[in-house]
Amino acid sequence: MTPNELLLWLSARKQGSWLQFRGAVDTLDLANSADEEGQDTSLPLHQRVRFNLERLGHLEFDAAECENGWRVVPPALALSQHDNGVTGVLCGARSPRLVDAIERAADGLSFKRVSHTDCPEIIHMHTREAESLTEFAQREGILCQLDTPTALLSHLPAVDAIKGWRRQPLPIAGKAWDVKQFIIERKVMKWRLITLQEANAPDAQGLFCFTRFQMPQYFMREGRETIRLPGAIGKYLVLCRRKRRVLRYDRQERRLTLPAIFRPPLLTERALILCSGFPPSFSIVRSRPILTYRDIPEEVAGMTAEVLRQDFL
Amino acid sequence: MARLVIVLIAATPFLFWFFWRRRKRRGDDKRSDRGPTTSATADEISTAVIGVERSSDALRLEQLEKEVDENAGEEPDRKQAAVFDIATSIHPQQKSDASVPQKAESHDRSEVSGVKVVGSNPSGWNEQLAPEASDQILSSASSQASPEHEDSKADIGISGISGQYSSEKPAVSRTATVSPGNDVQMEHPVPENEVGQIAAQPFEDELTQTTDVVERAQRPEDTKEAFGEDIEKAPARYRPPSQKPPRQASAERANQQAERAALSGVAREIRVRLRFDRFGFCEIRLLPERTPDLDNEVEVKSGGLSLRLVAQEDWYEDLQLDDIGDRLRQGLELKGNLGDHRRARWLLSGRDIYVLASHPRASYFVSTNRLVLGRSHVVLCVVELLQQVEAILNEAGCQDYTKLDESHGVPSGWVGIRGVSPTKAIALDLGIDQFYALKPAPDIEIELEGGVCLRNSVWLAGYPPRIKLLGQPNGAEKVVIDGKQADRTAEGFLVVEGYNLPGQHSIYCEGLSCSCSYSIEEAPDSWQAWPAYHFAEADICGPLIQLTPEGTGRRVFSVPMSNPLLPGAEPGQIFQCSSRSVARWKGLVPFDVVWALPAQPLQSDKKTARILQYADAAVAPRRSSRKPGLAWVNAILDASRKGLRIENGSPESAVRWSDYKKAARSIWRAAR
Repeated sequence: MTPNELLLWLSARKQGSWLQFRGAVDTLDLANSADEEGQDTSLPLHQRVRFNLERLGHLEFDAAECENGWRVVPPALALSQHDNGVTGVLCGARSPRLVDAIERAADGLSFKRVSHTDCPEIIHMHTREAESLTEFAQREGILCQLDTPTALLSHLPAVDAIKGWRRQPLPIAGKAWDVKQFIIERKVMKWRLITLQEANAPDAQGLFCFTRFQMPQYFMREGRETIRLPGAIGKYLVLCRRKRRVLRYDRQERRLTLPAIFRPPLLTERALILCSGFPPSFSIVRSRPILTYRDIPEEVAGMTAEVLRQDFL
Repeated sequence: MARLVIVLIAATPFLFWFFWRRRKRRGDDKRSDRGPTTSATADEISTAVIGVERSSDALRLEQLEKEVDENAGEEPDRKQAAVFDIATSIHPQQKSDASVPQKAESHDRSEVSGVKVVGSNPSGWNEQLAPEASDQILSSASSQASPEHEDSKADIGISGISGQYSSEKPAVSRTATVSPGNDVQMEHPVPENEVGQIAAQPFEDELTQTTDVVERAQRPEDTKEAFGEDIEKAPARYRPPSQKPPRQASAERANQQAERAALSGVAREIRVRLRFDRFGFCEIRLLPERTPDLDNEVEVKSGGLSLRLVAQEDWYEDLQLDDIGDRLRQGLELKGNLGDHRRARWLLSGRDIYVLASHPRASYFVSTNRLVLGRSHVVLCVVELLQQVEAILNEAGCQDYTKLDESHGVPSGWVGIRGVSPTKAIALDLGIDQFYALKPAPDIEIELEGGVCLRNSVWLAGYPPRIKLLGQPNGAEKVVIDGKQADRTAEGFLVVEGYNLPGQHSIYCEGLSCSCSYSIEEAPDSWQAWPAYHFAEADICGPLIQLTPEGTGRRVFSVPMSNPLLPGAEPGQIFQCSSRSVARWKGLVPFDVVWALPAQPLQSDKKTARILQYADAAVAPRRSSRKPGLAWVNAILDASRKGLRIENGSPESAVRWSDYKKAARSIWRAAR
């Protein structure tokens, strides 16, 4: 199976368990996949494919009503407003018939199917006005979301809104824990291995990652309070507390770049990706892995910075 | 005297059994001593075959054999003789067919020197027997073909017939060879390693004790002892399938097996997976098998090595080991405990030759039993065997393969051979053939590959399977799909009109016991959105945002960062945009914005700062009875005091702004 066929398979199954997904990815034939250059291959294939499907809004993993599994999102056209018009990206489920119908119906529009590593083909349309795309979606019986990046970002809480996260103490015992602390020292931002005892020391503060059996759990210790939260949010919270900036926005190129270790939280990243329809490119700049998101309108970059409690470099 | 007679009578069966055992052991010893001399006989045996058509006689044979099996408690000799007599009496024509030249050797995946059974096709079976051995093994061969225990892919072997079955001693050997334990063996679907193979075989017949001693150490049933051991020892080495006589699995035996299995835990195999990257560099990993009854995560140990197996659907996540070369050669045994307190082990038997091919449920190349004609494989062998391996591959018609060494990622001491695509079947040596894995059988096999397989044999409409015939076709095979004769495409795939349409489809080879079926389903055409992520004002599902009642009053608004103060039409409605390092602010505002003012109107530069009008709305009466905050009032009055001009102001907008000033002033006065 290719990633395209994987999405067809997932769409036909509608929802399933993580194991089923792992099994399906295992049959992926990536011999003819695009060049791996420019891709972050540090993660195993199933995780790369999973994250791409999730970020592109095709599937949700381990969310409400699909805990410990996945569920396919209904087919939807995610619109994004740009200076030169409106871009529509096809998200969600696909079937051979649906893709054919869309391709045929998009005759008058600027329509592209672009291959990309470790994810299904990106189906992409462009028009001057949003109306033609909304009408198109209506004709084809698919859902349509206007100004998707803005709509997503404007409903996300900022990373320092930690009230909703669960208070949970750090694990204090157990053999198989791999414990790391996120540290920021001058220009160095990295995970440092520590012991379980060090993490539980009374004066230990900051973000900790406890990994057991390949399952990471992140905890933030601030004062006497310990909360459990997603790792990406924890990192930006640390940056916020330390008043460190990592985002860089190029107004000319409309590109947002950031260190790969600071990949934004899922829904924030989904908003950034749906501006263009393409996952970020991966590059090494001065020995540091960098992610670059393209076609990001300035307003969206600003909203992203606000959600992440960042200011641009 | 009477006592003596009673004692003698009572002792007779034991004495009888004792002498029989003694004779048998001697016979076994002699056979084992004679091992090397068998090859000549084997060559002779493999020169011809006889075909056995399934007939009413065959059915009768099965029936009679069942009866015989029911009398299993009888003396073994009697049982053997009965089986033999039945076989010879109902297959007289088979003897006369002994001189028929070899046409095809076996059915799908059945391959053992001399004797093969062709499949489970209801239309008939083809059996091929070595002429010298055919008489002796007819009963067994026939019984294997019976569906009750043939398992549709059962093979028949005669590994034990060596020497004793030569034509010089037919009468003597006949009695011996039909013994179900030693000579004529049924080969079950060949598993990847000894575990699966042995696990599939019933094992209680005393006659088989001698020959099975060696194998017992590898049997899953014996894992009870093995699990208790702390001492690290290398798992047993792989042996090519040994050929055993057919034995009918009675219900009692099946129960015993189930009991044993329950006691001893779960035994599964470990496969080898090889992946090539785009530069042709290969990576070898181990793939532990998983079945639905096993836990999703299992902690396992192998000596000092501690690992965690993480489940996929059909496998656990593949294992990358630093000493993979040694593991391939010596094998690997992983032991762990399941959640329900069963013990489990995974075994890779060490071997010197691995054959890897594509697998329907795993990507890349996965270890398999044996080369298959027409399929592309990768062979891994130890360096010492390379010359012999190449000779056999050449004999099998493999051409244009490439050799891989350490520089291609192959472990030290091993050689990889890529692009091995055999075209000729090779007969196996009698006994245990060291190169079993490299000798393809001529079996005809239908293969469904590619497409999008939704589950089992169901494919997605638009992505049907490609149908291929593997094996050594003689050109006369007629493949029928959905009742119509199939055509071959240029790529060698079989098609008929409508084979790819939704519905049930069937394929079979006319005259061969080779068939399969598949179905094609349309994809669903509706999916439901759901609140995957819930926030205060919206639910999110993929790119879709569904506003909650709390969020319905808010709308997206964009304004230059120079004018972040946004008054609405109703006194008190004012929104301050957050500070951002961008030219325009965009976000949700909880009311319809009428004006946009500089953040600090009194401190702004009058020459450049402007008032922006976004709506021509009159001042609205206050809906809330509460006293409004003065922020709205101050913003308007400050902008007015500063004398800021309205951007692109028209007379109407000046009037509107004047109304707002009046309203603000009156509120300010009232508040004093």
